[in-house]
Amino acid sequence: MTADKGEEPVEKRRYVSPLRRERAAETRAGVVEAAAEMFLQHGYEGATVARIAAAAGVSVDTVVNTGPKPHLLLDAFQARSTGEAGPGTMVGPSFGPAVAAVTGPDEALDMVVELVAAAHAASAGLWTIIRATARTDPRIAEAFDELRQSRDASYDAVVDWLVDLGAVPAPADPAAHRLDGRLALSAEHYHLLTADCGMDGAEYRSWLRSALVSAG
Amino acid sequence: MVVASRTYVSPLRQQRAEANRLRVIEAAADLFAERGYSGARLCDIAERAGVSEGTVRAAGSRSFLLLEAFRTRYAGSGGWESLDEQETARSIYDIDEPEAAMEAVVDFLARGHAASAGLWVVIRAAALTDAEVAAGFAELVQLKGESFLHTTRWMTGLGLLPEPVDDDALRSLTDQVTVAMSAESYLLLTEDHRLDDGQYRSWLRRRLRGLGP
Repeated sequence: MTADKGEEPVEKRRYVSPLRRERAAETRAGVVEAAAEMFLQHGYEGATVARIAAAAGVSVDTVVNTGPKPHLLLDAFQARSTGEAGPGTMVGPSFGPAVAAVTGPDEALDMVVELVAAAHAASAGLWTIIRATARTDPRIAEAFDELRQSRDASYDAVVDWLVDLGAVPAPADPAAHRLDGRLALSAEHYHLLTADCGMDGAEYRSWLRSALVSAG
Repeated sequence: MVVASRTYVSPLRQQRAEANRLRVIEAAADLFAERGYSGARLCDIAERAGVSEGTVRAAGSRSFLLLEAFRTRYAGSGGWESLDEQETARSIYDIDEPEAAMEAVVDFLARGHAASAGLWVVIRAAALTDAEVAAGFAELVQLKGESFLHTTRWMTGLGLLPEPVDDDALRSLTDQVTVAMSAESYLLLTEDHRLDDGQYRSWLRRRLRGLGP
């Protein structure tokens, strides 16, 4: 409000400058990305507002105005997994546009593997932090429940779609097939295979491909 | 006299010290699972265990307590170097009848994960951001890898899994076994997808048999 010192303050308030809006969105994206880095470096408790502000190169007030810490954690995960800057996600609806371009079963499988691998590479660490924090913070727990529901719905849709296209064999037991699909596509298995079993990106992709084909 | 009293180790005192140490580990396991790694301080653990903070410190650092709490909950005892040296696990590896072996493995994992998966989530997240936990976790992951390799070879020997043709096939089979038996699969199935204990066991049997020869 202190910025509106000029004439016609009412007019100025109502007018939203596209430039200013764009800058605000950039600042916001910068804060969310800095928050992602700080959560990964220092954990949920250790990623203080001051650290996030310093990493983003903005004031503490700007971080506070961006949202409370639980929102920052969830936004950071969403931004990394759906990727303004990156790949589509299996957790959000942004899987949609890429589907239209697919012409054949093999291509469909390649696309799913590619999108999932890229989304996990960018966001699996934050997912691990969300899962752990959800055990102790009720605000995160509630959002985590919603995230898991939308994740399950989207993974089921992916698996059904692959079956419809003939990219994977029609399952004898659809329920067991969906469950195996959910596990194969999970961030948990990505983290286990790449961090603990030492798979690189190409090995994970090939593992995921055959897990999807042999699910159920 | 002073020297003598130092060298004499009272069996009673030793027993009490061990009992206190176990209480500290149990209290640490509860608190880490309830409050996360950063939420459980040494003084909280002391209070829960009903011992002094000095006794907690003597039992180990916070990162050690977290890892030891996990080992104790998962395998029934702490301090193991590798699962094939751990008592409960070794008694399973001694089984040479395939069906009994499969049941024993499924039972060990269902119990172990039920008791420890909450701590595993805490350890995995803390290992991302805490250097001390990360160092202990790296050792744990190394041992886990050796244990799953050992388990894969043992199950192969019993005819429960196919004989791998080369090292690559063995590695790939071990990865499959690792995923099937992992805490991650247990958590996804029981917490996210609400399978009960019996359903988890059925899933694990089905998954392992699916890898079979």
